Amino acid sequence: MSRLDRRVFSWLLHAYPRHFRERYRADLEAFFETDRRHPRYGTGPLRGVRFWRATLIDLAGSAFSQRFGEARTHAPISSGSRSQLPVGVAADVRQAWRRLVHSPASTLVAILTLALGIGVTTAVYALAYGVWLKPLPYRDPEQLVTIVARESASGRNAGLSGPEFDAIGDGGGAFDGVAGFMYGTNLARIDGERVRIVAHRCSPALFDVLGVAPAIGRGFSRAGASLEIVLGDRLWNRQFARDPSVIGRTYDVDGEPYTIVGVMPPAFRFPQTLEADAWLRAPRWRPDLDARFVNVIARLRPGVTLADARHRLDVLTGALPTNAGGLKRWSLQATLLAEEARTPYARPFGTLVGITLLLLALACTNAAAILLTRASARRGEIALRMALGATRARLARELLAEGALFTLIATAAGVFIAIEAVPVIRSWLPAATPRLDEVRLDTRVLAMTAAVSAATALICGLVPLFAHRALSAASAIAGAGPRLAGDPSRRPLRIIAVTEVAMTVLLIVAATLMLRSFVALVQRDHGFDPDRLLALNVWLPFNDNRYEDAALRTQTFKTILDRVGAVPGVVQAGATTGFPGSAMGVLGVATFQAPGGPKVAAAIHACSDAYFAVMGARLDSGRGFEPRDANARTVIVSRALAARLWPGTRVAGHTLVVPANSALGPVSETYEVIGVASDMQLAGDPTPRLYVPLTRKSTFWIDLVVRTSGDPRAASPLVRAAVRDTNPDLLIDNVRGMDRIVAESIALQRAQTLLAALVAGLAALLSAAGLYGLLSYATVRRMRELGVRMALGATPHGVFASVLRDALGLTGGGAAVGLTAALFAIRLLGHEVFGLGAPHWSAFVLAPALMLAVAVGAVWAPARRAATVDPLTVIREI
Amino acid sequence: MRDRRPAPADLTPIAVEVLLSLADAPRHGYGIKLDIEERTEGDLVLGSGTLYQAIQRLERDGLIAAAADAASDADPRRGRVYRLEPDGRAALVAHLRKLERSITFARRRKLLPGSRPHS
Repeated sequence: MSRLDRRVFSWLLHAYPRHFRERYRADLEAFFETDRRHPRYGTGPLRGVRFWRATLIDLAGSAFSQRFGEARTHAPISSGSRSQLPVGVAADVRQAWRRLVHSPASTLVAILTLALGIGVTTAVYALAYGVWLKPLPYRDPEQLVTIVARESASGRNAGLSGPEFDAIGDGGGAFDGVAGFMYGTNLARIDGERVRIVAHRCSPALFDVLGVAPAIGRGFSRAGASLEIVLGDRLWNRQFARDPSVIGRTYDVDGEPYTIVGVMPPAFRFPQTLEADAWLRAPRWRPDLDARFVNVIARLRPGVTLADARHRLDVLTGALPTNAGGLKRWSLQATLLAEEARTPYARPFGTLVGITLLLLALACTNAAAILLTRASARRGEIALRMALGATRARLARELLAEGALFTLIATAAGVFIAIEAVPVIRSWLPAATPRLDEVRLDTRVLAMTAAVSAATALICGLVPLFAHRALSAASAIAGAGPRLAGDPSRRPLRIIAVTEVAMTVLLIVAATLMLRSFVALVQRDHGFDPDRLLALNVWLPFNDNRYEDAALRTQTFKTILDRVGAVPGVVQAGATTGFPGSAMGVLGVATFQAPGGPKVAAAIHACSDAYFAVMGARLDSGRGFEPRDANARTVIVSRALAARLWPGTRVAGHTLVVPANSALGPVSETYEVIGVASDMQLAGDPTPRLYVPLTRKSTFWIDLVVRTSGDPRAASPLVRAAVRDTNPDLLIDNVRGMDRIVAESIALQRAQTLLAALVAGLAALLSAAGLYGLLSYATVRRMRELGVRMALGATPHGVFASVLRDALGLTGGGAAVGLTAALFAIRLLGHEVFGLGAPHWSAFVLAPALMLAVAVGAVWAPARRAATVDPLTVIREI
Repeated sequence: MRDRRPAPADLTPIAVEVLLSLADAPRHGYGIKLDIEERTEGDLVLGSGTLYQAIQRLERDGLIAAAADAASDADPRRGRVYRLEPDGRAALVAHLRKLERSITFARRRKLLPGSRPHS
């Protein structure tokens, strides 16, 4: 502890100018060491606090005068007052401290207010920085671009095929390096134990393009066809207990022997949005033009802009290989990786940072108001001192010192609040948010906090200063006595009150709008019933060649469904490929067209007969799948697809042409539409979907959905056991309750709304307290004036009304400003920020009503007192 | 800077106390602080920054100096030892004379009780 103390003190010496520090460093440190044993600091747990308080006050004062008084004192000392400056500043700080301690209640309120503002701002900024603004952990991340293929007709994006990837080359000179990668889940075998790992297949150049080297070992060999694997830190830790000798060992992935060549550092993450356990070297991609699985990342050559690269890719697009007949035309689209990673978070975090800054401004205003009323109360003292020769600069320094000390304490408390708040807010965000676990209060975040509090200190010091700027010695002495009307110190108070009300109204309106759109999101009809529904992925064994037989796959899935359906507590089980929110996505996307109608792209799913019933989806018309559909060409379409293909007509009985090379087969075929199902969708506009029987398109995996009679999580072990009974080698993954999947899908909006509501609530609380203080103070200051009025014939009722009118006028003015600002903000930022639909009138009534109620509450008691004041008593005081 | 010595009147209250402390013996920084505290009965408690700022000025003006030859008996844990220079003694005495005049005057006006109890 004492060593830490010493180090802190040594570091703090940087506050002094260099020449002073170098000359006296040893002396100052020796002094510090000895002084800590001085009996003056007493005993007990507060001894350290007393010691540090004294040390810091001395250090702040003398460092300030060394830095800012030194320029003059370097010159020969010519006047006594100047050489006293250093003592003066230390005294300022000491005096400011005494004044803070003197009125502990208002000090505590002001510091708490500021600490809340600074704490919440710091916490939100820490999250915004960590998730949204922090540069990606690659070399020169702004130079990295991703490239996708876009289908010109439908506008949908997909990965590239092998031949297209090869065609990019160096992008016509635009790129320094290009690498492809393919998402993958693999079955690995370590010492006979089977584990599922997420390993992406990558071009040998990947690590060079990203500019990140392995922590141990090396990256992939650039040439040759060797099977190599680079482990992620997590897998290395989990499976190999961080044993460095794993380099060179063989690792069985999907039945093939991969050599471990390197281990990535713990912070490495690629791709950003997905967990990865390892990366597999893929020297080349499948030559199949329809296998669009290659995701591309490239590094721009220095000096090449994104626009240049896009242009050169356009040129390349003309030369892209096309499949038979050139029916599908794809173009290559480049996007900055950093931008792609930031986009989803720009809106929520941008809004939150804006809102918290508003809260901070409000806290600042509040604290400034408290300092201002304190300064106003000291007008008599200040006037006296000015009359006795205190300079204006000296008084200014005092006020600034008070503001600074104030803010320093509030900042310390604010940082503590932030330390506590960050984990709480972090737990509100979706668990899958990239880099969430890296969010912390690092130097950058604290630097922002420091900047913010410096600005706060200035504001807190300067506002009272401006209030006193009109103060001359004469007028101050005059003003120190009782005044009747037109008290000049009331104007800043009025401005502060209006500002406070305006900011609060703006915040409450914003939060109300966000809350409304969030409620709409929660109440959204997902097209299915997520209650008591268990969802899981089931994979067939990767390396079991028997499952190449489609009939066996179909049979296996049927057995699984039968066994799971027979589990006690299970009502019914169904299967599909890609339920709403599934990690697995869809089978494929194809374009459909009704005769004479527009082309519509739709997602293709395969599902079991019971799927719609299990999900609780509604069939609008027609029927569901039945056993007789097993070998027929029948489809069910979603409501969105039906509405686009056959608007306003009965759908059942129509036929649909599934184009060639879709997920359903190499040749174009005609299917009969037998029914229309409700749109099952978690968020956004409903995607057009097309369902075929699972027997029609059997895959190597299925999404299992299980309707249970009780808590789905309780049924989960039995369901797992039933699946494993079918074949112990089956892989079960992502077992979750559907209600949780739904909750996760809106977790980001939920976090945003929660935070906005919290901030608005805090703002309402702060400004209620602030407004209360300001208005009651202003009324008390008017007491004499009111007494005189009553002596001159004003009725108590009239006085009461006048006080109330004054307060309501201020609040109403502030509310009007706040509402105007809110309208502007909505016009400017639109539903981008505030969410769905038109702004609701309730938001515009609630906030002003709340503020008016606070205003009435604040002046009621003082106004009553003013109305019952004895005019004679007041007159006697004048 | 050395060519123009400050007039004795320019001594700050802290500077006067530091010079007084060094008048009877050379002391290190913390020794000066303790001496001042004792003499003023705790009215003047100096922090390191304030003290060394005063020391810096006095050194610069040639009123005190770090005792280089006292290195042998100096405790390195307590910092440098300072002693009073002849100029410093002169400045201190001049300052005290002025104070004495003021005090004599104050006594005559019955602002202070008694008249020189020790002389």
